[in-house]
Amino acid sequence: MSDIDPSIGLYVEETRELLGELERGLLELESNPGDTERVDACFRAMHTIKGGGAMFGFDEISRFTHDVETVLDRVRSGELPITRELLSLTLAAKDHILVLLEAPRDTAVDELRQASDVLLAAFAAYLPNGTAGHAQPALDQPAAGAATDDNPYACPAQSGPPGIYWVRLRPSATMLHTGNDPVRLLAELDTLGMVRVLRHGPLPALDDSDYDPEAVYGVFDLLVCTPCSAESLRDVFIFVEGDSEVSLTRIHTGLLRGSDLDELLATLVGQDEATIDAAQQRLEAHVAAKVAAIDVAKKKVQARTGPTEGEPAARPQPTAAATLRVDAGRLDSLVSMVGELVILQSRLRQAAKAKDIDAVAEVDEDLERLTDTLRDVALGLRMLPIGSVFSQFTRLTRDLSASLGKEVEFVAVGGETELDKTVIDRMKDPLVHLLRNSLDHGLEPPQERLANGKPACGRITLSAMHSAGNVVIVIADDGRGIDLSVVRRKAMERGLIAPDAEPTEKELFDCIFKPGFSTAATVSDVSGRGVGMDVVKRNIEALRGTVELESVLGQGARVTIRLPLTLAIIDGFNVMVGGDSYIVPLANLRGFQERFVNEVVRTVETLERMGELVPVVSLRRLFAVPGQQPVYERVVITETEGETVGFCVDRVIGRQQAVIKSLDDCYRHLKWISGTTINGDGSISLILDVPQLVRFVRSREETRLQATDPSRTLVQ
Amino acid sequence: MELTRFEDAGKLVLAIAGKCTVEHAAALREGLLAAVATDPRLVLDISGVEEADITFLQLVLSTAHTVARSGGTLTRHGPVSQAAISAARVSGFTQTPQLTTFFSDEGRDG
Repeated sequence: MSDIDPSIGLYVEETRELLGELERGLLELESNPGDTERVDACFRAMHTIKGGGAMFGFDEISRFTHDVETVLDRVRSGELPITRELLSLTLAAKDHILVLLEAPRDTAVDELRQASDVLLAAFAAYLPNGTAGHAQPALDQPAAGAATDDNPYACPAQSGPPGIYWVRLRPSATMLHTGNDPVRLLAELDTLGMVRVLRHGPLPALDDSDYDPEAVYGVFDLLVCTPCSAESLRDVFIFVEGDSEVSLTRIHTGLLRGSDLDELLATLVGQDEATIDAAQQRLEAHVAAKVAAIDVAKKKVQARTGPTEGEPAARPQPTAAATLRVDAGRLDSLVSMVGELVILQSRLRQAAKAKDIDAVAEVDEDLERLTDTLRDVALGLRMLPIGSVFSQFTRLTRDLSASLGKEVEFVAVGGETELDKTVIDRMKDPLVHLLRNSLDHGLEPPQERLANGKPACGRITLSAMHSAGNVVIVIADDGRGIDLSVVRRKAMERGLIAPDAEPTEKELFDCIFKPGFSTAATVSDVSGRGVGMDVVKRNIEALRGTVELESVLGQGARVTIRLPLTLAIIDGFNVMVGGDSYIVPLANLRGFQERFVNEVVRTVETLERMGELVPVVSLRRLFAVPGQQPVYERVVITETEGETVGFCVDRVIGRQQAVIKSLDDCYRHLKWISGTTINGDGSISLILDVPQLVRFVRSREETRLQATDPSRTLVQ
Repeated sequence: MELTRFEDAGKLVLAIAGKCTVEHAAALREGLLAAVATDPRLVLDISGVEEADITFLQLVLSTAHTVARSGGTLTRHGPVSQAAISAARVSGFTQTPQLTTFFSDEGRDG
C-alpha cells in the first residue's frame, strides 16, 4: 500500500496504533466503567479511524465504523451504560477493523463485508430508535449519480467517503455588481479537493459594441474530487445562488485520477447551452463507462498478480517492520553528533596536512568516544518499549480465561523496558505461546484453586527488566506448577532419558523444550499438543537469547527469557585459527586457558579447569583449517546452556565490537555461524554461535562414536 | 492599474500592471483595443499584475480571439505574475484552447 501513496502507509500505521489504544481503553473500562476520560479517548480513536478511512479510500472501514462511533458517542453522552457485552462487541469491532485495514485495498471481498454486516447488526441494538442501520448495506453500494443528501458527513470539518461532484456555475452577468467574483468562488472551491475546470460559453469580441467589460460571461463546469460533503461544496456558492445558476451533483463515489477527470470534463465541451439534466445524463454515461473500464483493468491486474475473486484476500505481510516512530530528541542528538563528526574530520585533515602525529592521536581518541556514543544513539533509534507488546496480552488473557472458564489477573511490569524493534517483533509469538501454556496448563480452575487454599482468581505476571546488558523477560504464574515425576515418566516413554538415568531437575525441565514433548493429559484448542515449546526455544535462540524454566509443584511456574539488547552489534573476542578469524561472543565467554600439544590432536578432548574436566574442541581439526598445528594453543572457555566447553585456537587477538552482517543465503545451513563482521583491516571474521556449535560438535561426535563403539558417549 | 507600451523585436508590447479588477476593466479594454489596432501581433506583459478578477481574464481571452481573427496568436512578454496565473488556473482559463499557449512557457515571447 505504501508503494502507492506514503500517506496511506501512515494512515495504516496510525490506525494500528489507534486500535491498540482503543483496545487498552476498552479493557481498562472493563475494570473501571466510570472512567469518562477513557470513554472519550475510545470515541476519539474511533472517530479518527473513520475520518481517515474515508479520506484514504478505506471505504469499508469508514462505513463500518460509523455505527460503532455512534454507539460510543451514546456511551460518552451517558445514554448507554457500559456493559461487558458492549465491550466485547466493541473489541470484536476493533479486531474487524484491523482485518479490514490489512486486507488489500479495493479488494474488500464479500465475506469481509458480510462480517461487517454481522457486527453492525449486533451494534444496531445499541443505536437510537429509527437510526439503526444508518450505515448503508455493504452490498448496496450507491449507484453513480445517486443523490447524497443523506450523506452523514454534512459538516465541512468532517470528511466522508471521497466522491466526484459535478458543479455547474452559470454566473449572472451582474455578479460583480454584488461584490462577488467567480474567480474568488472557484478559488475557494479549489481548496476543497482536486478540481478540474472547464470555462466555456460565448464571449463577445473585444471590439464588439455589446462587450460590457464589467459583465461576467460564460459557464463554468467543474469536476471536484473531494471527501467533503455536498453541503460544504454548496456553501461556497451561498451568496450567489439567488441570481446565478448553481447545480451540484455527486456523480461517483470513490476516487478517480486527475487525467480521468480531464477526460470526463472534455465530454462537456460545447454543452454550455445544454440543460442540467441533459448534461448530467451525458456525464453520467461517460462516468459509468470510465468506471467500467477501470474495473476491467483492475480485474486484469488482479488476475495476474492478486487473489482471485471469491478467494479470501491474501493478507499482506505485516508492514510494521517497515516504519518506526522515533523520539525527536534522539534524532536531534544524532544530528548534533554528525555535526561533531564533520568537525573531527576537518581536524583530522589539518593534522594530517601538518603531519602532526600528536594531533592525529588526539583526534583518534575523540573519534573513538564519538563513535561509541554515536553507536549507542543510533542503536537507540531502533529501541521500542516492550510495553507495546505487553498490552496485546491483556486482551489475550481476557479472552482466553473466559473461554477456559478460569479467573485470572494479568499483571505486566516493566513495559517501559526498551528492546530492539526486531527482537520485539520476533518475541511476540513465543510470548503468546508461553502465556497460553500458563493459562491452560498452569492455572487451575477456580474450584480447584479454592480447594487448594488459593484465591479463586489466578495471577500471571509478565515482567521485563534490564540486567547485565541483557533484557530479562519473566512469565510467572501461581498455578499448579510442573510435576517433575510426570515429566520424567513422559521423557522415559519418549526415550529422551535412559530408564536407569538419574536426571537433574534442570535436565528434566530441559526435556520440556524437546520437540513433541507434552505432559498435558488432554489436548485443548489452546495448547497441550506438545508443539511449541521447542519452537519457543528455537525462536529465542535465533535471537541469541536463552530460556529457562523453573517450577515448584503446587505453587506455580516461571519462565525466564534473556535476550541481547540489540541484534546489530555484539561484543566479542577475536580469535585466529591459521589464517581464519572468528568472533566468540562475550556473552558466552568465561575465560582463557592454554594447552601444549605433544601428540596427535583429536577434534574433542578434555582439559582440566579448576579441578574439573571440561571438553575442548579443536577448531583447527573441526574446520579442517590447513597449516601446521601449533604446539602451544589458547583455549577459549565458553559456557552455554549450563555446560562449559573450550575451543582451541591459535591466537587470541583481543576484544572487538562486531557489527553483524548477515550471511548470504548459501551459507545459511551453517547454523553455528550467526553472521560475519568486517575487521579494522578489511578482513572478515565469522561470528560463532556457541550453542549451535556445541550441538553440532556433539551430534557429529556421537554419530562417529556410535558408529565405532556404541558403548562410548561424549562427555556431557 | 498601469498600461505601458513599448516595442520589442519589432512587435508592440502592452505591459499591464497593478490591480486588474472590475474598476479598471473599461480602461483595460480601451488600452487593449488601441494596442490591437496599432499592431495585430500584440504581445502582452502581465508580469506586473498584482490582482486579477474575471474581467481581466475575459479581456485577455477576448483579445486572444481578436488576434486569432487576424491570423495571429496572442503571445506574452516576461513571466506570468502569481496573481494572474492563480486566477486563470482556478477558473479554467489556462485550459481554454486560445489561452493554453499564452499561459504556458511556450507562450513567452521575450
